[in-house]
Amino acid sequence: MMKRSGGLILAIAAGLCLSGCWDQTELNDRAIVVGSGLDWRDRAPSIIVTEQIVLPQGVSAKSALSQNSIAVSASGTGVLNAMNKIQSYLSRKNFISHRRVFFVGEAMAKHGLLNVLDEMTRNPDVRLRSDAFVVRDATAQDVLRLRSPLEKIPSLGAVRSRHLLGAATGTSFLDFLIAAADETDFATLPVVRVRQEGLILGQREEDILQFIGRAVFSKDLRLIDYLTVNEATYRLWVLGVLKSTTLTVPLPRNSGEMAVDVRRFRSKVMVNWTTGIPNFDIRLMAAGSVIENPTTLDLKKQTIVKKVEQAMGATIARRTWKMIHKVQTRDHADIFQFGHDVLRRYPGRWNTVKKDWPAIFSAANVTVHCDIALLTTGVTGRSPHLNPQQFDQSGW
Amino acid sequence: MKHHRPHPARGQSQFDEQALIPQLAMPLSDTVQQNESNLRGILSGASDAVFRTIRANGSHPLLVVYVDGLVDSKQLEEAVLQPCLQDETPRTPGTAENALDHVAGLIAVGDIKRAKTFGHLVHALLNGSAAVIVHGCSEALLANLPGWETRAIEEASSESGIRGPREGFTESLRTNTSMIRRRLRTPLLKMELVTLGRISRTNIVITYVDGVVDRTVLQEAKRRISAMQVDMVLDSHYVEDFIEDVSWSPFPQVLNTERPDVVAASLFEGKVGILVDGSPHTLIVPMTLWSGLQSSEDYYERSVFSSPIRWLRYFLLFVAVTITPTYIALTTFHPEMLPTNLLLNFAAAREPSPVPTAIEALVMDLLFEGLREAGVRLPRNVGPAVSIVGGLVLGQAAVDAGIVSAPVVIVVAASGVASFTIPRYSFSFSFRLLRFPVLLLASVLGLYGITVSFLAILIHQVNLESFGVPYMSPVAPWSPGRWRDVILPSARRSSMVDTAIPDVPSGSTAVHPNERGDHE
Repeated sequence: MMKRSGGLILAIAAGLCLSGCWDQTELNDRAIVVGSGLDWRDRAPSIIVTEQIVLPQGVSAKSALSQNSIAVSASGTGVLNAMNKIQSYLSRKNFISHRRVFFVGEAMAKHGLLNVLDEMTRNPDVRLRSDAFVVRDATAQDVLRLRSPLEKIPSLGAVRSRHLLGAATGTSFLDFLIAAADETDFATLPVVRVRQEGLILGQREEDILQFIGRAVFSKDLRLIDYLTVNEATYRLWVLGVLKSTTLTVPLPRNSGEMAVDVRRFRSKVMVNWTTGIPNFDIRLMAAGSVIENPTTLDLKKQTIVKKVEQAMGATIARRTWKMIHKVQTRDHADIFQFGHDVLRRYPGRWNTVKKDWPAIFSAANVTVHCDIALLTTGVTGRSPHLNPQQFDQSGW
Repeated sequence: MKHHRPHPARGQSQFDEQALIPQLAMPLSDTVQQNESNLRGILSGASDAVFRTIRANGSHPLLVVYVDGLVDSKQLEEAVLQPCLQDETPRTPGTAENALDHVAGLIAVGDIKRAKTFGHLVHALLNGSAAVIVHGCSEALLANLPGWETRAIEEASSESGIRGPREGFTESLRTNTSMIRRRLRTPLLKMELVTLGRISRTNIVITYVDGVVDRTVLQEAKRRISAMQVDMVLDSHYVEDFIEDVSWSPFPQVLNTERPDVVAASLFEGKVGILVDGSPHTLIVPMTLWSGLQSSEDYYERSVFSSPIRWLRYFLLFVAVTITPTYIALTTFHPEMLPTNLLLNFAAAREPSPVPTAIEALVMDLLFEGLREAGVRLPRNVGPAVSIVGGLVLGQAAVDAGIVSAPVVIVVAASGVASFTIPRYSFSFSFRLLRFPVLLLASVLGLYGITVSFLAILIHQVNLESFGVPYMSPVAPWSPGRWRDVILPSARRSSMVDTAIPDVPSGSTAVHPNERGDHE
């Protein structure tokens, strides 16, 4: 027994040492890629891949503004072709499993993503749960060159600011793929741009990354249109995935604007297709609390609060309707999953209409209603700096 | 001296008392002079043997022999010497039997035996008896007056606790048995004496509670102990070495404890205790994996507190074995599994390191074991120096110098701290030892290596038996009703109430533990 197991252990040990089957790579032999970018240029080789690689020594530095990453670019006929070229520039093994975000330059997005997406999904080293952004008016290279003032990993800055604006993170690439593969959905990606000299560092100013909305792609994955941040927010609300946001809503008769912190979003899309075109009735619901009231309205009065709620609901509904109308008329792209609503409501009819869905979607009647409940008016009722005579007790 | 712990399989030892001292087999003669010269011959060179001849009343002399230091000299004086010296009654020439009875009547000692051979006599002397040899009698009186110096009862140093009884066993067998007796005041508590060791003649007590004990375990324990062929038993481990099932296993199959309360509780659970004279560590069989992880304090503290602490201990046991291998596997094989920020911190710490992570961890682990070993052996007043050198020089300076990365120091320290939570010191050896093969496998195979080593350990554990009881029981094999004690210490308390023992000893009350445990 002892002799046999001893021999077995010896054989295993010999096998481990002699077979060279050693798969380990030390952390300081890896170049950790945290973000990458795709750019397109008109002359061949036309795909430019940029990789942002962290410098571990810089990460341990106290300030996030110290140089803690480098960007390496290479062009190629395809993504992997370019990445292999990047590897030839690097003294360490290119390690892309921690690539949490990638940026697509505007030129690339307009050229179309059909030919570059395969590497992003097939390569087993790639993390599918990552975020993708379109860079407006610039290249991905420009973004990866930026330093993030607060993040140790610069390219994660965009991911985090988008999260703070109320969207789920880590899934935008996956959502993009799902929508692209869908029969009627149109794919979208969030958009960033490089804001010139937005970061003030003492006497110096540096460029900074800004999150500015959503890009709409055609079915062949070409960029066709942009939505603003507000429009993107309303779209997420319609889709029912908005988590939290702050809305500044103007009140009627120039009585001013009011800022509301909104939570508990719900949305309900009801389809009614009895006439020639479908009717979509969208109900948006949310609860909010007032965080800024620059008007003279007396929020201690319940009647005023009710009026504000109604006015806000009407404004949000109008803005949402405008956003949907814009997408219907300009892009003819169903980015609201209305097709799915129709499929659920009229499964029998769906097979005959899905071929013409972009046209039907563009022509569809959309109505939007919005109910906002103001749960609190902040920590004060009336603005404490106003004297009682100044309050507007009646509203409009 | 090479005959330390000879194994029975490796044959008998060279030592044979009877052959070296043929007089031992001789019977006593009826003259004091003859007996004295024989005894002096046997005990030649024994400067601590005392021969005292008493001639009271001009009658026939008495010879008192004892080994100085082994008998209580004060008691010897009061109970043996003075009565014999002050004996006024004239020695009427009568039968030898009368003379012996007369002297026996003088000696005020509870435990008096008689010896017919020199072998018996000498061994009694060496066990702390005083021998009184009466002229004309071919028998000697043996007054048991053990009075050697012993250590006072102290707190069990290897198993100290906050709450609960503090006294621990000493090196004295009788003191130890009394401590158990005081906890189980029932005639059902049996203490069977066995003498082991051809030179050491060590007294060993097999103790159990009749009617509760698992008969098969008891018989197997007795069989294994009686089959032992040894010259010396200096510690209970000598016995453990012979009676354990699998000697090459990293897991001890015999529990040892310094605490009488643990022994009492174990006896009550139907286990068998083995006390060895000269050792404060009592053996308990059978042992299971879980009993090695239970602290007696679990039962002395409210189970609301002690249950989570026991879970913490199980978790830390896992940590002790796996944290360093997991660190190696994750950072060198599967860095994609780590959160990005954590990976970057690891990478930053790893940046200046000149040697592979696995070697770093191995060296730090070895140094840690070295520190621990140094700490155990060192005199108390040098101990702080070692911890300063170890903690500061090895940890801080090695990291600052960029020789070892900080996370490796952290995981090695964490696994060390985790292994200290195993309440039985000798059981923690198993897991300290197992860290190294797991670490090596993890460094060549990654997480796969950890899985393989865990499977190997589990396969070994479920195959292991201690005196016929599966090592992993009651979890594997699953026995409903009894497994709860593994998780909740309170379960034992309720089962203890359920377990009724008969008050009157009777032959047929033996209950098998399997029948006993299932009626909850």
